Amino acid sequence: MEMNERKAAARRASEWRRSRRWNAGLSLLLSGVVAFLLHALAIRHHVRADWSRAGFYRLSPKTTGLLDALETDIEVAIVLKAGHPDLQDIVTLLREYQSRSPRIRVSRVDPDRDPARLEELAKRFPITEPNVVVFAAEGRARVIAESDWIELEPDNPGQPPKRSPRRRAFRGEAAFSSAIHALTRGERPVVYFLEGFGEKSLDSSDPALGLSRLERTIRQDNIVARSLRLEETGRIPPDAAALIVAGPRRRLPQPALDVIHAWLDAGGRAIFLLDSRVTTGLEDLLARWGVRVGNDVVLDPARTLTGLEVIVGPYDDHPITQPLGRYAAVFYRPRSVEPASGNGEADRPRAVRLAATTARGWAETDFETRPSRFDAGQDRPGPIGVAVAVERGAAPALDVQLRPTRLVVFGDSQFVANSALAGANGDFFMNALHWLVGRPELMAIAPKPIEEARLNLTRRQMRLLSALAIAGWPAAFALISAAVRLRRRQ
Amino acid sequence: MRTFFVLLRRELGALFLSPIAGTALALFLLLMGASFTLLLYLLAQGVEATDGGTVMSHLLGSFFTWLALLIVVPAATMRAFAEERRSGTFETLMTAPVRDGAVVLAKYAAALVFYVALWLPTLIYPVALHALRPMGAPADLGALAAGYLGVLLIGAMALAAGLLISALSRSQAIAALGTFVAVCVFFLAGFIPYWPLGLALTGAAHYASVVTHLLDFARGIVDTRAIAFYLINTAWLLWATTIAVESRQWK
Repeated sequence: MEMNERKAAARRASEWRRSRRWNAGLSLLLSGVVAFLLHALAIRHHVRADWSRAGFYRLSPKTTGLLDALETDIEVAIVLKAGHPDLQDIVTLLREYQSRSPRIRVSRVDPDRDPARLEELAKRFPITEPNVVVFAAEGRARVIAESDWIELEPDNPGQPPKRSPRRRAFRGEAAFSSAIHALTRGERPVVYFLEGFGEKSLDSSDPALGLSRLERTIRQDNIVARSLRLEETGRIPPDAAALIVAGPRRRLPQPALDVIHAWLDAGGRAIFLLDSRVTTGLEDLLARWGVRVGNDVVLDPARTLTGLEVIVGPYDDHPITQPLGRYAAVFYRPRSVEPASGNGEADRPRAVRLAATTARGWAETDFETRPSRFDAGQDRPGPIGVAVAVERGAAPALDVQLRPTRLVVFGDSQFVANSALAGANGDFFMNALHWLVGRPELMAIAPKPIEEARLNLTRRQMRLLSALAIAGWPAAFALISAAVRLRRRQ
Repeated sequence: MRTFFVLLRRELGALFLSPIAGTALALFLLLMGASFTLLLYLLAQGVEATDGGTVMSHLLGSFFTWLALLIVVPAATMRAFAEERRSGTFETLMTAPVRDGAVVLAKYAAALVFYVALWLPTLIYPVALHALRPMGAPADLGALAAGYLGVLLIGAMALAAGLLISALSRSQAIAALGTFVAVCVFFLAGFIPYWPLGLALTGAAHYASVVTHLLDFARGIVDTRAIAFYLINTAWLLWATTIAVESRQWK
């Protein structure tokens, strides 16, 4: 009898334990499911803030807008060797892209360790350089090369090139965002470079006379650049989104000038890059558009290195120059380009100065005397403008929606030549081009300057500080803790 | 609530006066001191401040932080339940009129206070760095705050894991070893998104990567996903610890 009761009690206890165990297991499982759902919820709804002051990888509103509007998946392959100086920056920046949009999928290929995947990638995409980042969507691809994302300290002339030049600025965001833009937006505007009058050539890789690097930059931004010979076509093709006249060395014949003027009048858009000490006939044409192009050479002793070039910036306020910030462009012996007086009247072209010298600069008219110096009364004192943007909207009285004419005039063409396309030069030009073709979303995203942090310490100071950090500080706390324990024990 | 504070006081006393506390503190500061020294040497050579001066990311986001966690977390949690069991006070504690959840929370809070106390002396590094006035590396308080927030969150989760392991272990040594292994696994798993694996995996892998999180926090990025990851996991681990403690009584 007693035995039976004891057995029954034991059975009840074991059943109770079993049911408790089941309960515990079930509650763990359920809470695990809840945790999983909460994780999923956290991934879906998130906010990402950057508390750092510098925000080196902070995405610009242009990029976030582009990413938020993505409708196709973008596959990104980072093809870089381990230990490449830019690898960390690229990975971190692309993680910001990934965090913003789940449509960005990033993978990394180490060409040394994974030649099979590299080969597979090379079959699918036109990879011609060793270090690239490939963007692909819907069978189309963009290959971004090293020179697109990093700006290195240039070699000193006459010295052997440095093995690892200092990195000056990281322009990854501009390069990557324009690649994504190119993949997702279908239309490709066509721009024409005028040729036949000694202009700089689109397909030449000559350092001083070629524009092949500029052509590449234009192509990266999903714009087609073609050359145009007016004497052959006799007109500007109807598909031209913009005309670019890059530094003619001869006078343009009157028929060509007439074609250009008529085209502009009908809502055409153009960039003129006019070098000093050349008369092209465009000066008079531009005067009718409210731009005064001077027959002079602009010098600015306050902002020059060798005396020949003029470092421009800070810029005047305009959509073209705004994204450049304090990033300076360099012009080579530019001529003055300024809004003509009487500008700004209704239904007349509105010309705005984009960049100028400091007050210490001047427009030199005496080309013979060396060294050049400012002659009061003869030379105009600074600030002297070197670039102007012009817009002429449709007359408000007319009820017709005409495309407004837009012009940008630079007092130099050398600044976009292959050897000079550094600093903000390319951005300045490309911003102007984007403004012309009406794609403000592609206006350059400012590059991030890479600064060097340095601490000046003597060897003794260094040794003292290390000793304090490694030995002194821990020892102090060890002593305090020992003292406290000793007192407690007493 | 009052019982919680009584329990917390008891736990704090036991933790801070244990011989392990002073040793852990000294070792921890030695490692972080080494990290700081490394930063000084980097700065003396001149380092590219790609984070625009967030040089402090070298201090908190370095390998030394992980090494330090490997020492600190087991030290803070290993004795929590394992020691009670060894000394035979576990039954007393469990039969006392306190809820198991309160016991777990008190032990966890004590471990967290201990952890924070360990990190406090490291605040001298940014102060010292600021006093040395390095060129091109302005003090970035935002990034610094985010870095310490990250260290706190990662510690909070690791401590909760340590507590669970302690509740499941018979002895302190096993608890310490288990926690050490768990932190190692967390850390190593954090490198998964950096291996060249399938594309689909990397997004989720970044979400769960403590390495990614620490690097992000250290350069000033505060993402609600990372915060949620640690808070959810910490809560679940504490819940599991409570269940583990309860189930001990049925044996």
